[in-house]
Order: sequence, then structure tokens, then C-alpha cells
Amino acid sequence: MANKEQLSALMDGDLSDMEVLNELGTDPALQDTWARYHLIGDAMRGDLPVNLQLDLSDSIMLALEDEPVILAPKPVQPVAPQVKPAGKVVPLIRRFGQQMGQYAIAASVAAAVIFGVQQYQGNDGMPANPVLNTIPVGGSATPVSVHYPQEGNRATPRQQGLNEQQMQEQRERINAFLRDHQLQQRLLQDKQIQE
Amino acid sequence: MRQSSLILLASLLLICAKASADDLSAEALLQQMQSAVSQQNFELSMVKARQGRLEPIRFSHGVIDGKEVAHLSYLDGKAVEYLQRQNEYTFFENTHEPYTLKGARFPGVWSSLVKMPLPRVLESYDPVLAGRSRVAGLVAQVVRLVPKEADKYGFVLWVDEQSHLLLRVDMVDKEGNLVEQVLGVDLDRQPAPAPWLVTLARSKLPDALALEDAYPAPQQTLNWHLTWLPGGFKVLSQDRHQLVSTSQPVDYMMLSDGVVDLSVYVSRVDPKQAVRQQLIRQGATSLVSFVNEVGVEITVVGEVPTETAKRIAESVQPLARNEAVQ
Repeated sequence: MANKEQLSALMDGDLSDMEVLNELGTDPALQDTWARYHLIGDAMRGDLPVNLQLDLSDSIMLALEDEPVILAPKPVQPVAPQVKPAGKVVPLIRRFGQQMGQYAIAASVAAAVIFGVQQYQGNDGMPANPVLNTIPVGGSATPVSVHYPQEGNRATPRQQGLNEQQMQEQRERINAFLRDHQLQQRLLQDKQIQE
Repeated sequence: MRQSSLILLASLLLICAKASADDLSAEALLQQMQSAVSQQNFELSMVKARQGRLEPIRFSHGVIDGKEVAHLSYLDGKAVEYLQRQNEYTFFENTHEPYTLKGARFPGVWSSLVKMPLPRVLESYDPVLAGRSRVAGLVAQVVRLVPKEADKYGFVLWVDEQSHLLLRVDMVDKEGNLVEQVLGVDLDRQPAPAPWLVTLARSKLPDALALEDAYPAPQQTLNWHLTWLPGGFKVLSQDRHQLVSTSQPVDYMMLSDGVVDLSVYVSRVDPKQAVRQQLIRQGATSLVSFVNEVGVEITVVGEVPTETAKRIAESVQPLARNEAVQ
């Protein structure tokens, strides 16, 4: 019987004892402890899913056992029985799904993405110090535009009725602010560390 | 369900017990991380992710003749490279001539965290040890920097157990959703600095410009102030200058809590300007801009949640009027 210390070492990747691994594969009590330790770890890292369904792997394994045997001549997958004890597969897939969900939300927010921002050179006659420059934000990343929450004022039709030139001007203005912010971060860092 | 709530309770108790017992060591770990990054020879490849947009970067560091030399390069798209030699930072970007600034810093959350003034940051964030986890094939200690108030983003740091280098950073909102991530994928520790880094360290680069020359905007008191700020933020700088690309004159205020920076701009509004309100989010960076009732445009840019940026923007008050009221 592997003790809890060994189990914990195994989780941290500090133990390569096959004996413990084999025991873990067969002993349901040990599997419970293993799952609980991971759950504690997840809770401490703030990785817990919104809906915690602890018995999910068990119920799926039950469902798999109830699955009727398919008699059609299909290529047998010999790995299938090995998958069964590894109940942890399920939460992993669930987390992947969550991750995808996050991106889907991000993508829907990005409905009004500002594409391909041109670098605005300004007036050539302007005595701009070359130092006062950062790369245009559009060059390396894309700002995501979200409409400001409207309170039924007249900005709504104006905002929607922007023509191409106004859109372009707005992009330039936003990028000017984002770039200035980047630049200030470079310039004033010294001050911050001295403080 | 009963079992699950018991387990949750147990883990919560564990967290609390751990948090109180390990505060000191979480702080010590952060200190170790900061000194490790400035003292070791290594190359760390990372992927920066904001809203599903990925950007691979590589950070190389060496100590050459007792001096710190670091190189950060963006691996995709146009070549952008930054070089640090002790406290001189040279910026190579594709659109303009390279330049060198003294006491600057590399952009990005990873670079902010490895250089942050720790005592200052811990005034408004609680460090909490959160166990161990694997990153880039290495076992790392997880430290969370939890903001004391929920109006700022939190950080989760993965610090390599062996080298104490910072392998991964997640920036999370108060619900724990990821807003920006820098994920180390490969760490190469070297006994001696890489030869190309030595060559770079000795090559001729643009002379460092003094801050006064590079940025001729004298400090001055502005005729407005902020009536609300998230915890830990202090004003670093106030001036008037022109935005580089649009040459728009602005009143400018920079604030910082040690790890996150905020810029507040106040400018006269262009009557032709069509957009009166704007809200932009790019990873952890939010931009909120609106024209107030007296026709002044207030813009806030910084690595804070958009609601916070909006609240800061709305808290801008003219000084004169305020004094008249009092």
C-alpha cells in the first residue's frame, strides 16, 4: 500500500516508482486520494471549474460499462480498456472546452476589430524628436473595440454612422494614445524604481 | 454533493492555513526570483497571449564582466528587438531609428514583474503560495499576487524551483478569467553568457539620451486632479506634451502601483471629432475615452479592468472649480 507521502511525491513528479503507479491503477481508495490531492491543488491555484462535478468520471465509466457491445466488424481498438481507469481524462477535456469558450467570448467581443492600422506620420515639418516613438500598436497586436455603454444619448447614431475616413481618424487617435502610454512606460520607469 | 462540499471546505481551510503560514516565504520567493533573473545566464522562450492572439518572444540574459546584458526579441513578423546593457536600454523597431534610454525597461508584464519594486507592490497586493505545477518541462512554485481590492487585475507567477527564474505569468480578473498570459515554453540555462550576447554587449550602439533631452516636457501642476484611484496607485509624473503621431497637445498624468501603469490624458476636444466615447481592450490594457459635459476629452490607458479605467476617467475634476466650491 503506497502511503500518502509517496502519492504526493508522484504528483510533483519526484517519484518514478512503478509499484506506486501500478497500485494507483488498481486501488480505488488510492485513486480517490489522488483525485482529492489534485482538487486541493486546483483550488489553491484558482483553477477550479465553475461547476464542480466530482463524480463525473465515475458516472461516465458506468455509462461506458452499460454501453452495448458493437458487433459490426470494426477494427478493434486495443487501447480502450487502458483508458478506462484513467478517469482524469474527463476533467481535462472539460477544461479544454472552457478554454475554448473563453476564446469564443473574446472573439465575439472582437466584432469591431481595428484592422491594419497605418502608421500616421504626422506633419513632416513637425520637430518631432525621433526618440519619442514606439512601434504602432497595430503592428504587433490588435486593439479590440467595444462600444462605450450608451445611455440613450445622441452619440449612438453618430457612432454608427462613421464613414471610412472618420474610422481611420479614430484608429489613429486611439493608437496615438496607446503608443504614448507605451512610451511613457519606457521613459518614466527610472523614476518608479527610485521611488 | 455532500462529499464535494466537504472537500471544498477542507481545501478552503487548507488555503487559509497555508496563506497565513507562507506569506513570508511567498515574498522571499519573489525576491529570489528577481535576483535570479538579474544574475543568471539563460535564454527563455515565451509565448505572449492576449485574447487568443499569440506572440512568440525570446528573452536572453547574461552577466558579462559583472554587467547585466539582456536581449528581448519578437520572433514573428517584423523584427523588433530590445537590448539592455546595465541600465541603458536600446530599442530597435522597424519604423524608426534605434535609440537608447537610461533607466528604461522592456515592455510587457513579464519584464515589469522581474523588475518591480517589491515592497511598494506588496502594499497593494498579497503574495500567496499556491503549490507547485509544471511549466516548460520544469517544476515550478506558483505564487499569486492577489490585489487587496478587486478593482485591479491579479497575477499568478510560476517560479522555477531549481533556478528561481520566472517561467510563466497569468494576469487574471476578479473572476479568475485570464486576460493576458506570458507562457514560458523552453528554458535554457547556460554556464556562461552566449557568445552572440557578448558580441552585442561590446558593439557600438546609439548613445544614451538623458531623460531631459529625450522628453523635453517639464513637470508642472495641472489644473485638474483625480478624485478616485484604485488602492496603491500614486502619481509619478504630470506634464503637458504632444502625442507623437497626431501632435495633439495633452495634459498628462502618469500613475503607478509599482507593477501596473496608468496614463491619464486630458485634452481639448476637436469639434470635428465624430466619436465621443470609446472603450478599447487589448489583453490587459484598457483604453477609456469620453468627452465630458464641458467639452473636454478624458482618456485613461492602463493595465486595469475597463470598469476601473472608466471610474478613474469619470473622477477627473477641474481644480479651480473644486476650490471655488470649497
